Amino acid sequence: MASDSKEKIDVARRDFIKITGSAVVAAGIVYAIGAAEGKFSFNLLSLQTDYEQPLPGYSYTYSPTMCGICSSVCDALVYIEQKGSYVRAVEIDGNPNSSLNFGKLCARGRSGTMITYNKDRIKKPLIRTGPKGTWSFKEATWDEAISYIKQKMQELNVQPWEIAMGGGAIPCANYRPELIPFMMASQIPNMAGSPMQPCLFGEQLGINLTVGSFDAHGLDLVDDFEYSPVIVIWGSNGNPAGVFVNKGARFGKGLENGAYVIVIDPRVSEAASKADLWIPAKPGSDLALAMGMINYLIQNSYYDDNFVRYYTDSPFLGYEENGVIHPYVSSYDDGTVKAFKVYDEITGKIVDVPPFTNTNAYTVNGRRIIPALHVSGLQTPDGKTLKTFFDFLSDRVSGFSIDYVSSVSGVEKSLIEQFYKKVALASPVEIGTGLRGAQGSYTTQWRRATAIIMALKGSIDVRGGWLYSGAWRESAYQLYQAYNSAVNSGQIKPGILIQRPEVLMSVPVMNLPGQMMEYVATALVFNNPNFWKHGHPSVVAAYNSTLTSQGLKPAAAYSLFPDTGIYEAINNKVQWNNQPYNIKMVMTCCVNPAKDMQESEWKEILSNTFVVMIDVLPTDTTLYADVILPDATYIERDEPITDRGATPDSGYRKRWQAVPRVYPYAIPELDTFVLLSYELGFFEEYITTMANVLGLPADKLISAMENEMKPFLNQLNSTGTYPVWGEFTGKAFNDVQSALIASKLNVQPEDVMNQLKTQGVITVNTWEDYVANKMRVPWDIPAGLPTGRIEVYSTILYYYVVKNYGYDRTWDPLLQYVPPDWNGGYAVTPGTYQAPQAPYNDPKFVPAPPEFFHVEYKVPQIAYIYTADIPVLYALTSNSYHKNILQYIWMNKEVGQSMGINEGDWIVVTNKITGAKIAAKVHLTEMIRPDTIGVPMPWGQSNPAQSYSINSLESFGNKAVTEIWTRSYDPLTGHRMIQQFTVTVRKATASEISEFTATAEASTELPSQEDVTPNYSNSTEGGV
Amino acid sequence: MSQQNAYQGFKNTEECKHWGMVIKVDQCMGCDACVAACTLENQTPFWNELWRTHVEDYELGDYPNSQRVFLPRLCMQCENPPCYYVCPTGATQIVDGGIVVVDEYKCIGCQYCVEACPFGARYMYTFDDIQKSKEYYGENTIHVVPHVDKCTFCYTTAPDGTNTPACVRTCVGGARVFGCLDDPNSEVSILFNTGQAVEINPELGVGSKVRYVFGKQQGRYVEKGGVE
Amino acid sequence: MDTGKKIAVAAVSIVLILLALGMAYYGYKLDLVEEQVFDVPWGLDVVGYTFFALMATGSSIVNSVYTIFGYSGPNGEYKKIIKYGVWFSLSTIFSAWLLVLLGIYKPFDFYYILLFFRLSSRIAWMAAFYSFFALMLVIELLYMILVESWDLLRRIKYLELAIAILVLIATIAVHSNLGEVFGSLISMPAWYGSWLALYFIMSAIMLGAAGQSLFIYVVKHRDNNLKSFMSRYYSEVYLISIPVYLMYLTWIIISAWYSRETIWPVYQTLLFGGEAVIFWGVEMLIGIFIPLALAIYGYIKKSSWAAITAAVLLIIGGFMSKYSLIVLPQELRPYVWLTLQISNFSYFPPTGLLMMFIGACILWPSLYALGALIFPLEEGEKPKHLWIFK
Repeated sequence: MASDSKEKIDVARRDFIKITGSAVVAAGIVYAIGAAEGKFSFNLLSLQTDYEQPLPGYSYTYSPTMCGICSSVCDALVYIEQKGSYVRAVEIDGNPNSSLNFGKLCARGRSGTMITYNKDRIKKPLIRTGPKGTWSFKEATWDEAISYIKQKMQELNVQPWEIAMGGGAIPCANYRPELIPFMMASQIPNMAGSPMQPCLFGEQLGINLTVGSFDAHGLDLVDDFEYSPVIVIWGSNGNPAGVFVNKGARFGKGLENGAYVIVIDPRVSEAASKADLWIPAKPGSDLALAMGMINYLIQNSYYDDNFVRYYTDSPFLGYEENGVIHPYVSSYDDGTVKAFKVYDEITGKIVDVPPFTNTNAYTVNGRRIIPALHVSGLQTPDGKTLKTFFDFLSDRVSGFSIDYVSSVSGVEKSLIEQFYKKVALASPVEIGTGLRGAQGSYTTQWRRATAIIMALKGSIDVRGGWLYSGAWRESAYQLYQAYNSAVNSGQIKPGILIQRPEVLMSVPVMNLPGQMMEYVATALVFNNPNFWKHGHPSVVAAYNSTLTSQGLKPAAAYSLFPDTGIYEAINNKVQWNNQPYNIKMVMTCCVNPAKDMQESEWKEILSNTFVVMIDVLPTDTTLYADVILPDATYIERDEPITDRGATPDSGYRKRWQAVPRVYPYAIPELDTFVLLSYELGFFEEYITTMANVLGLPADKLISAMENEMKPFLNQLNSTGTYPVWGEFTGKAFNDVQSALIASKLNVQPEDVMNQLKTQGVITVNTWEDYVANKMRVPWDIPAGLPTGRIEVYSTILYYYVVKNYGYDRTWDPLLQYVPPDWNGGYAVTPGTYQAPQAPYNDPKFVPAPPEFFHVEYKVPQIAYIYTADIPVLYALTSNSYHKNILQYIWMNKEVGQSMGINEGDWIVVTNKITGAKIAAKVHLTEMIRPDTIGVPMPWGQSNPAQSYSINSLESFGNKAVTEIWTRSYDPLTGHRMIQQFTVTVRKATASEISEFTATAEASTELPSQEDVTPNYSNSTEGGV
Repeated sequence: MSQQNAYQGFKNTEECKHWGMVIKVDQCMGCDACVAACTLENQTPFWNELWRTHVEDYELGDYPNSQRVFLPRLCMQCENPPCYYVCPTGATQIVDGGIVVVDEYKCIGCQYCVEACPFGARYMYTFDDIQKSKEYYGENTIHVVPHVDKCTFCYTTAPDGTNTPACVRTCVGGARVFGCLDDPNSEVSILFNTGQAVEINPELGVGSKVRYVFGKQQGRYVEKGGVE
Repeated sequence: MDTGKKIAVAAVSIVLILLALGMAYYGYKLDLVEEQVFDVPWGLDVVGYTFFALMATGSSIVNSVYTIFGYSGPNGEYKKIIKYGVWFSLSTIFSAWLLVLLGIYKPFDFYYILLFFRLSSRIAWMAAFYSFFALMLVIELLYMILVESWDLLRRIKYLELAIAILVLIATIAVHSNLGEVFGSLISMPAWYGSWLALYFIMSAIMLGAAGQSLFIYVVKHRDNNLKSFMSRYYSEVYLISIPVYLMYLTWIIISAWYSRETIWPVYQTLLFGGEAVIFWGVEMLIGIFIPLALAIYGYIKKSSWAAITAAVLLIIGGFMSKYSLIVLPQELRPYVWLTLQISNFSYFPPTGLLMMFIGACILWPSLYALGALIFPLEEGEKPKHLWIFK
């Protein structure tokens, strides 16, 4: 093809060379004319011109899709070129119809085609031939691979609970409705969520508990930066600039509208570069900073009295018993909550308010009241002093004066004052949540504090504050109706949701509003032994009970899918019913989930288990896989219709397959899972559960699935390859879903699919509609939380965590100061609180070189580590003009020079607790606190199979930052306390440099060398 | 919104005699989305770290008054482009829209234009690069013979239904604004005419059609003087 | 020189010419696959081209002393060397062309310049003026050869003068335009301005005189009267041109000092920085001062070795000064964005360009030698074969 095009040109040349002679003569004459024209050139004979038009004969189409690179899941359009049977994706744009990302995409999303056409791709099933930790595989057919897996499982006699799935943000944001049912049907109770699950979950739980979302990665809450006068970005490289397009695009609009931007980050992150006020708060001081803010708001009455009084649980009465605040309630005989009590300012009496509703304006009998925020001299019949949660709150924060906060956070008083004042005087405010927030055990309380600030400002579900996503709102409304009908029909007595599981169970679990979904999944499913036929709960729960039985604290009291317990199970530290709880097999899917676990631990886990990986690229973890199954990239998939993600609009969208699969052995993972269920004989349960969790008709889905699956299965069995077009799971779902949606919107199913095919999205309700329909939360309908109010006092923490595990300030239901506890606290040994020695026990502590605090951050060009192997993205970060900024470890210039360290030197960073080391080159800069070093996340590759990102060894050693993470867990969320330790820094020795720049050994040919010819042909004989 | 071609959502579907771009430095978050977008759409040789547009990080000031500024750079699409006047063969041309493009068949690669461009916006697209581009972008490459390459505002390469360049379509912060300078009500015209958008190196007198809005950065102001 | 020797020399020079062309072309091919030096698009190829172009044109200026101003020496010695001088200009220009052609990325498309001539492009005009210049030189040489055997020509009044004047015009046009190829770039403050044209004329005269004197010495090394004449004559030329050049250079540097931000860094590096050794050592001492001293000596003592050494040194110095003039500003290229940035790149010619340059350097004398053998360039020598050959 290319060659004929060259031909063409040559021909063109020869033609006019013949007449060149005459031309030259003529040229002389025409010079004058040319000059006269004023156009300083002229073209005597028209030579073939080219302004970079593509080669002739190509036609162009586009296909909407959903980006599958990070959990922002942006709406995208794939631009496709076609000539004869040749098809190729040219580029990927954002979808301008999208109210999620407004037609914008980040560098990763833009480079999506470079994943699909990446020469490093896993092209065939691979079976390990050499020792773990090396690249040594042999190609296999799917048949061989599957039977090998089966055989190994028999050899090892793997029981369902002995399998740990590895998922993470990608499947969580994309495939929750398919993967959770798979686990339920296959009776596998273990899912280690990652990448960044330990971080995101730990970070967001505080917010989720307060407002009812499951906002692990920006799904349920919309940061409405666009309309906020004051924007606060809090955390290491806040995800608006991290970059999370659905937040970044709104952040950009906010900047355009002249919002006052405050960024709290020890370094000048991309987000901080946009700040009007940059607060380089000391790592570990965030909670103090936040509690100071609450104190400031309450002391100066800068809070939204109406919102706090009527729409939060602040006026509820409670009493304190040895440090624990208990709600003062009236109960039924079964001990469940009948009503909460508030003090009515009209009648001056204590009255009952309903357990689940959106407002405190009425008693259980529907009488209008004015609940008091401050009370005095009230007592329970048995003489305990009663206070409102609001009063308790103001007591708890009373110590955090601006002076104290300034001394703790190491930031000038004036800056903090300005910060507080700006937030206090603006309404609404928008506290964008950062990424990488799992700093320490104080994280949950800190995030609750930020959510409480939002509540105090009344900035919840108002333009310019936190909006709920359309999908979340719909499900909250559905739950509200379910509750009402259950109560009205007398099935249940009024109560708080977590004490009315029948209500929760009456709604398809995936349609529950985030926090209730999370509660059901955690408390009633994965941590509940009775849910599982084999009587084993998740390894997390088992590990918790093991620890508590030893009188210790749990390792993840309330957490969905942490990696907690797996490492310990490998080391026989986990018991269930006095039997050791083993993990024999690990099965990961989607983009390198293990990579964001503690590095030496995931290496040990994967080395000691039978590991099956479903992946697209040869990530570092594949060095430890026993079987690698090739996955299709997201533009090669054709998937179920889903909701609209983190946008206030509700509606539908879908991932369409844009191009034929480039490698005929790659199977889209949803199909893989269904095929596995078929192979392992739980097909029907699987499909039924999928239907149930989504509220789809099971029988229809099963029959659709069977019909669509046949041809795919046939080809796989007959030829060993998979059809390059189509995906039966998606097809089956679409058959069922389109019919349902069509009937809901009273159109034809074809219209639904057609609209999705041309426009990519269907909008059913917009924010404006919801305002009009009175569906704002909690203004009009209850929040998806046990009490239906915004929970300043978290009933889940009280009725689930405190009741099960006793009290700890880490999970104080209201708000409690948790000190940084550097090199101590829960960061040393799981379940054990170690009082930190001096000076680490003093929140005012500042390390002196060579000791530093440590922060880590995302590089906007690279979302998850695997995207570092996309050639364009790697080139972006290795650009000479900012390679040092994006690939090196940041250190303050003066400090560095005082230590005799120069720009570009190799340094070794050592964790004070564990002694673990990472090495990298150093970037000396004025953009970071003198007492802190900043480590970029994406680096630490050692797998030679990654042709591009392996070059990062020039800048960053072969161990990722997770290597220096703590080897312990937060007792509540199970996250790693990634700032609760200090590090020491020194120049690297020559031997260390060579050790840290070594690549893993490769004894067999790398994927880039495999001779599997890529397929660009739109061949229908392969298609279905 | 529902139109035949979803790309129409990017606007700029009309023809125009003078396209212009404004870059609001305040809204650039340094995510390099524009660079990736441009590379993919125009098949630029990223393997040589050559881009038609790139974003520079400036680290200014001393802690704690540190200030980080991102400055997107690209061809200024000059009104009187030096590169145009020096091109001996007329390979460099000004096409409708006032866009300066290179006709790659006419370009003989004397690189006079590369020397002449005060903005370093041009580079040589070599035989080697053409081979590599096939490897990365497939058989349908838009660069067929070696030539000097430069930003074309995505002339003829933007998807059907829009004239908006890739970098503008994708800019996450909305820092890049593209529009018709002939239409007095377009955002670019307003920013140009109100003088909010300044020309970089106005003393060169090249008449940039790409201009910058420098506003607040970290609460302080980048001196326009500092930009010259 | 006996015939056998002549044939041998001719053969050798032909071989060398072929070798030179082959080498240069190979160098070009190599340069395509080699890694591009993006920071310095105009490298050794352009330097060498400028160098040869200046020498060729400069040599014709020197010739005009005889052809136009009619100075033929105390007893007509000049008549003996003028044809050799003209042939020198003509033969030297080929080396320049070789370099400039292979210097562009697609040399076989060079004629596009003439096809799609853009009037505002100095390079386009370069092409035009070159053709004109070469054409005029050929005419002049032909006239000089034919006039010996063709009385008709001698009868046409002022024809010789007319041709000579045209040659001079072409010459001035070429290297002043060449100066503006660089001088018209606002992007390169260190080049920008009209001064380059004059600067080029000055150094052209030095280079031209030095070049032709060397080659003519080779041919005429037996004729002692002529040698002493030449020594004095060329020393004279040096004595005129060198001081003017020096003065001019001083002013360039002084005025550069006033644009501290953009231009001065270049001259700073040149005078006090990394290039100081080359500048003071090669360009100034070897290239200017010693030749000046030698010229004085050579003028007084009519010493040919002094004049020859001076010529050699002038050529070396002349080349190096062109090198710094063209390469250094590219290494220190200023960009004004948020702040002024001066790129800092250190250039070393890639192998391909080196081979091209060496090729050109081989072509230069071999072509000259061949011409000297086949054309009747002696005073009063009549062409015997095909009207123009010996």
